[in-house]
Amino acid sequence: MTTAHGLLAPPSGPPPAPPVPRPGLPAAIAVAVALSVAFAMSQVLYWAQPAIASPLPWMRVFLLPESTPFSLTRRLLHVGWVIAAVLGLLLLITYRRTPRTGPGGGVGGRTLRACQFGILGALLLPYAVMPLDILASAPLILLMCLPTTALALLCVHRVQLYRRLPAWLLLTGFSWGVLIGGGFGTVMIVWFQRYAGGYLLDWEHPRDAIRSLYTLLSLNAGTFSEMGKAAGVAILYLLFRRHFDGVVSGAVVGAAVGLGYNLTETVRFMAEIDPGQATTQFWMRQVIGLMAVHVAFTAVVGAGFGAARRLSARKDRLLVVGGGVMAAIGGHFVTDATMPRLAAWTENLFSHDQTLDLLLGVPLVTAVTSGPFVLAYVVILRRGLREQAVGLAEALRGEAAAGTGAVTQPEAEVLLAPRRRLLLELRVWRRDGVAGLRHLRRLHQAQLDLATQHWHRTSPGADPFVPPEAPLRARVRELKGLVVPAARPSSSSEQEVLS
Amino acid sequence: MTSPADNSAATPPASSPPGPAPASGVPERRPYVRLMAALGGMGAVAAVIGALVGFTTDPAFPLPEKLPTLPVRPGMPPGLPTGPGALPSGFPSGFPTELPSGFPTDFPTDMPTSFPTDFPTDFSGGLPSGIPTDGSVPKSGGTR
Repeated sequence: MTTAHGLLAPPSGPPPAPPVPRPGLPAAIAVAVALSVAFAMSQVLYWAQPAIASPLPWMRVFLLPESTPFSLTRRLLHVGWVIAAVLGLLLLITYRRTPRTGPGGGVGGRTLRACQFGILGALLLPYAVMPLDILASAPLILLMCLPTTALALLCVHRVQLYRRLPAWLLLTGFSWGVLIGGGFGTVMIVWFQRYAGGYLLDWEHPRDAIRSLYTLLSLNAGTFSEMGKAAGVAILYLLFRRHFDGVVSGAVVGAAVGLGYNLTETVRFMAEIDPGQATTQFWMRQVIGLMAVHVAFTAVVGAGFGAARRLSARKDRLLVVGGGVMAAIGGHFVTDATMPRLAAWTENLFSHDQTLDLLLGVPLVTAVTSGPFVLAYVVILRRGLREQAVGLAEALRGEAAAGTGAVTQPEAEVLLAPRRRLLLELRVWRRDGVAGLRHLRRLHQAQLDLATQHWHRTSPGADPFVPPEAPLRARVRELKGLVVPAARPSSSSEQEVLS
Repeated sequence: MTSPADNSAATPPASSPPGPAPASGVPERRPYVRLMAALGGMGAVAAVIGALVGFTTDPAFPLPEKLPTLPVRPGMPPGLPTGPGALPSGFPSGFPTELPSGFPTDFPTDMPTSFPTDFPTDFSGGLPSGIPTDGSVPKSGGTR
């Protein structure tokens, strides 16, 4: 408990914490460059392809003229590469000329940061053109899909029974899935449709050519769609590593990215690809497949990143991340390759009864194709939550025993019981309204964050990105009204957000 | 009076590296490594299944019973001609289906030499009816 001496004496204490190492931005730029390299390779393949002239109707998909959004994306990316190169040069000059002094790095540090974010924006924002075009051209369909998607996002948020990721981080992941992930995947599919025919059409063996074309189309879609989504999880992990404390947070971020991608894909299929079967598409993608398919694939990717946070050996980190990405690519490919065939089989099975096919056939096909991956992320979440409960119990009891006032023993018992916490929230909401509820949630989350970071710090494999406990403890005491809030140095707020 | 927790917090994080002190003889925990590796293996198996299904079966949309083919003959150009030009309206239909194995020398002299001559004779079932005849078949790539 804080004494009067502690309140009146000038703030004395430990010197400001040294700057948190920030290797995240250069690595995030490397991820964005990887997406650009993939785009450039497709462009080169397109330029180099043999010309074809095919009158066959099913080959016309490879002969369509370039759409305006795709053309705009391509041009903006070319401009973005030039901008990124110029900013990269400026970054190099600034880095060499201005030594970093102090935690913020002064003006030079701000210029460096601005250049880095500018490069990221120049390389990534053009991918948003195609999804924005799709979403803007079908606003009513978008509105129809928003309630189901929002409900799924809320479930994803609430599945975190203890410490929860900040809502803005979840929404950032969701937005990545809608715009950048969705855009990159769409762009790469369009590229394949434009160049594959030239390389693969074989009029000596047309049946084999058609099979190859459509199988490789599925492989292309699976690989680059998952690459786009995984890039989002990777960039969020690299920029906001402090918030990834294990597989639960990783899987949740991945699921949010997958939900965003699913929303864009649903609108695209309902409005452009299969408008005659819009109801079926909504049923498949926004009801039955909402928490399967894309959510499952990207949740597994996110779990890999979350698991990497707890591993000290680089080889292990690469293994868990690579395993997650491989699972997602394989799952997406097998879904695209087999789902149409399975759908035709169920249509025959139910004697072409559309109602039965919708009610039974669609869930059956979804279960067969992405069921194992749904099972995987459910198992990962359960195991992660169980481990969290054990680790948090130890950390909270230790904090209560330390007598700092941040967490008391009765509070520890409530924090470890999600149902009791929910009942308490309802009681506070009835008594104090929304403002009271929000304050209580902020307090609980700050206490759980303090315990989680303590648990993380004392676990094997902890990295230097774990934030110090003193500011977290001070935050909890401030929310409880135990101390008068003092002016915090700006660097600590930066450290809390970007670390 | 400061508490033990505040004392520990007073130490800058750089001087107290995170993580417990490694115990001698105890293997380091590597949580989720095996599980994620197994999931990666599952993804690889799924990819193999997708490739097998895709390359050995037809796509879900119906294909015509007879797909047009272009058998290769020694000395003949391998693909369909890609140059401009319309199909001749008076296309002869009486081509022999069994040609000698050597390079044929009895072609009609009024046919272009680069034009394939051993087309299938049964057009009505094998080719779609919507072939443009004015040379306006679109090329891949569209506008750049």
